[in-house]
Amino acid sequence: MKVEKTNAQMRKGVIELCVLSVISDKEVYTSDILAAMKEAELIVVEGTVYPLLTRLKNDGLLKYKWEESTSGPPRKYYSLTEEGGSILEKLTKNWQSLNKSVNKLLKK
Amino acid sequence: MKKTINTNINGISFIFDDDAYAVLNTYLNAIKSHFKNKKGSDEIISDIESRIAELFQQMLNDKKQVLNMDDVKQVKDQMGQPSDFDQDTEEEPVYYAKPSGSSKRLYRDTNDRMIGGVCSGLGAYFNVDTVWIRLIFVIAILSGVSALAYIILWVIIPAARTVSERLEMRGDPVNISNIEKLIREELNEIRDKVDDLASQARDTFRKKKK
Repeated sequence: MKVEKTNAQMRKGVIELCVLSVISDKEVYTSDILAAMKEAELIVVEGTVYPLLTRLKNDGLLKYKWEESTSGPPRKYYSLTEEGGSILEKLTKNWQSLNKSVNKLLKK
Repeated sequence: MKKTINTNINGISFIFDDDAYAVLNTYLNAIKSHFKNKKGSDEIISDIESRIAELFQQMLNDKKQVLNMDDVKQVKDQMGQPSDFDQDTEEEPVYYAKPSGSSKRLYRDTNDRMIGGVCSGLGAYFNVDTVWIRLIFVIAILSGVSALAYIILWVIIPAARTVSERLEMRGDPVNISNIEKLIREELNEIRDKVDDLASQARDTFRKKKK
């Protein structure tokens, strides 16, 4: 079994939760989402986030609006939709209980 | 001294060394072809391009006005290779086709027809461009063979009506991904036609206004 593959699969499961949580109840500029994800060492390359953001938007969890910028073209600011908010809540709960269960097992 | 190339990324003008430009161009094309045919591809590509433009902008200042190979490499490393992009996100579901024996059948292609779709159906069946089949028919009829032959074929060959019949006509196995592909192709054709009509309508409208 390859460790990298399992690691990638573990990350895959939680990365959606993390993006939603970075945005939570603010309006966030795409590059700030990238910076937060990188700082938390959840992503290595930035390219992975774009397909995910577009998918979450198409699934109705995210919305965005364009805002003028002083230093270039308009920027996309993402925020959660109502559905996105309730899914974030559910995923967070689920993650906490999963985390608890796994830790319990690992301590044995 | 080096040759430079001026290019526009997401509405901002940049100057690149020509070797750096070549590398960047290959990279952007790889991204485009990676997302081609995926849901939301245009949006993903334009978001990635605007991020790349932003990174390049941050590298420039009063003293540095031309982007070189190192800058392009740095941006590439930061964005990652297209093959890594899907690693952390949902994978497209993969459908496995049941291997079926001789799945190719003769149908009339009513979507690509002059009269009854006999020639285009034959073309699909024998994997020959329809133009040649039509040519043979025209020559045959002109040289005295009765046009009845065409009519008989018209009657005895069934039309490909459903998506699975259309796939059988082309000899593609009938599975989810092929059905999806065919529907997408046909939708694109319809969209092109609608676009054509719309632009024609616009032109006529403009002319009338004058």
